[in-house]
Amino acid sequence: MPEWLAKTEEYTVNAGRDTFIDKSILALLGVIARLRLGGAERVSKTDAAFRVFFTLALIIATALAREFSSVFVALTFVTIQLAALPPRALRGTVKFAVIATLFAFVIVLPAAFAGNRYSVTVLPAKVFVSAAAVNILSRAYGWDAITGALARFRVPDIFVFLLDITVKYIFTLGEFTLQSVQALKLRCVGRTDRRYGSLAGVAGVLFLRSKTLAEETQQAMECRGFSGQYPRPSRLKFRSADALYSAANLAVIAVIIWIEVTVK
Amino acid sequence: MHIPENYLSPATCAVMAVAAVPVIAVAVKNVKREVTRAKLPMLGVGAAFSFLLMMFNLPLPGGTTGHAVGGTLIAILLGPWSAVLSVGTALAIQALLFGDGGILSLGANIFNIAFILPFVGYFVFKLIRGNGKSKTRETVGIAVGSWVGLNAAALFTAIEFGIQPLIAKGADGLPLYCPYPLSVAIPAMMIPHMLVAGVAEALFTVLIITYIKKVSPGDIYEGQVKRSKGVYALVLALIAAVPLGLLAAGTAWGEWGADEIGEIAGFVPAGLSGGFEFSAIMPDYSIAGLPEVAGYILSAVFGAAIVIVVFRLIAGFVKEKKA
Repeated sequence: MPEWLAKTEEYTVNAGRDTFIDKSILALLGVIARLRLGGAERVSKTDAAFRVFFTLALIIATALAREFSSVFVALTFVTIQLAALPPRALRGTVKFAVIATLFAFVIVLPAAFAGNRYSVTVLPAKVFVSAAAVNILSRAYGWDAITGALARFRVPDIFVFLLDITVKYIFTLGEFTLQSVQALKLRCVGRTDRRYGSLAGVAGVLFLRSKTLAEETQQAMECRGFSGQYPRPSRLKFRSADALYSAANLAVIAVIIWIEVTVK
Repeated sequence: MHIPENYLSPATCAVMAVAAVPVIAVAVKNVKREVTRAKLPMLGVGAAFSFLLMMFNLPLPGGTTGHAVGGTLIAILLGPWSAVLSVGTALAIQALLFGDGGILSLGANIFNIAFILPFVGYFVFKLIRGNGKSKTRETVGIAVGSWVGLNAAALFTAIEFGIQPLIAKGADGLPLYCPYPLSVAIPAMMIPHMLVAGVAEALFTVLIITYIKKVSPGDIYEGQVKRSKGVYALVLALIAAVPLGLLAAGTAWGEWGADEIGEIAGFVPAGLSGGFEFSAIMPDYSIAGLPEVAGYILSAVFGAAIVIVVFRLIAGFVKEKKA
């Protein structure tokens, strides 16, 4: 038996900090889960084009509003929409919006001590409305429905194509990165001095991988005769759900405008 | 550094969007010339790369983490104009699909993070690297370039925040959006970016490029970006025009005069501090500015909706535990 085998091994693992790996894993998982669930959670009967349009309109109206009462009208409207969401989408949206609101509150809090109470109340409320509205939109439809809606609004093909390819590859490359970061986590024992180096390695491999994937995509596009030009989307059908949704939004925006004009 | 909704006034958002449009248009034109149509997918995949790069949590002193931005990195890897489109697309997806950064403030975010950051970073890198013969100069160039790029973007963000109290005030003189003046916004943004985030970004960028150079040296962008005077002129004109445009928009808003600056720049004038009472928002279920009945109904509907949300959240948790 060799001598080194007989020696008692004295190796104590230094408590290492690998929260940065855990956080990266969680961030990647979150993104992938969101994209994967996007289609499955499709809950709205309204056409995505109406949703995109009116979400933007509501966000603009809220941003322009100066009176707390009109922000409150928008807040109520968004909360009603929240109440109709399926459980998982509801939880995700509320969590996101509440964090964004609390963050805004903390940011403007010092202004309250200088006597500015308006910002402390109105700004977080506006942040909640916008954050919830965008999240409802993105959770109610898959990303393909949203890029489809953009194509309807005559957004140039190159941008729709870019958005489309990007979302697809966030998914593909995201899973690849997740595996790399998990491999990194498994290989990390104790304290590592090369924390930046290891993460940079993952990012480097990710870049090389994306170059290969881009070339393959280009070849696949050539094989299929796709030059990045989309066929014009079919004509928009106006159904009863669309009418109801549009009417509700128009009413809310009208009330906001009315408050802003009359209250002085 | 992503500016969320409602921190900037809609006027600022509009000006920043107007500033971002020519940048994007020139980027599309240049990329089409530089990157042949066949290589178009690289931009999309580059955007996905840029998006995922922002998911990387870098360890920072004190056990916390911060996420990478990677604007300069992408400019060095793909070229600055491609970086505008790639990072810009990543920002658009964050705003549209993930609610990270506002939709109205997307123009401002694209201007700061997808234009100022990669361009300043890339040209500082080029300047320091020189003819590319010295390895040390190249490494220093990458580090300084990414540090300066990130801080330039942070400075633009801070200025956009800081001018809000000047240009968007309510009738009572209180700021409607970001309430902090330049004297607060600039140090608050710049100190952490200069000391912590910028250093982490520089280190990360250097290590990634060193890695790629070692593994696959042919994959780094070596195209000649034409240093035409036109580009510099555009950059300078935009940089000069943006604050002017913002101030001009402020005057159009009708509540800002040159003689007021000194007075406002300090903070909310003391005499106005009592102008808005917190308790006055919802006394007895009525809402300031609405007829009593309407306010009451609105409060009731809001309350009911809140209750439904809370109950459904609780029910969701219970179900999950049972399962």
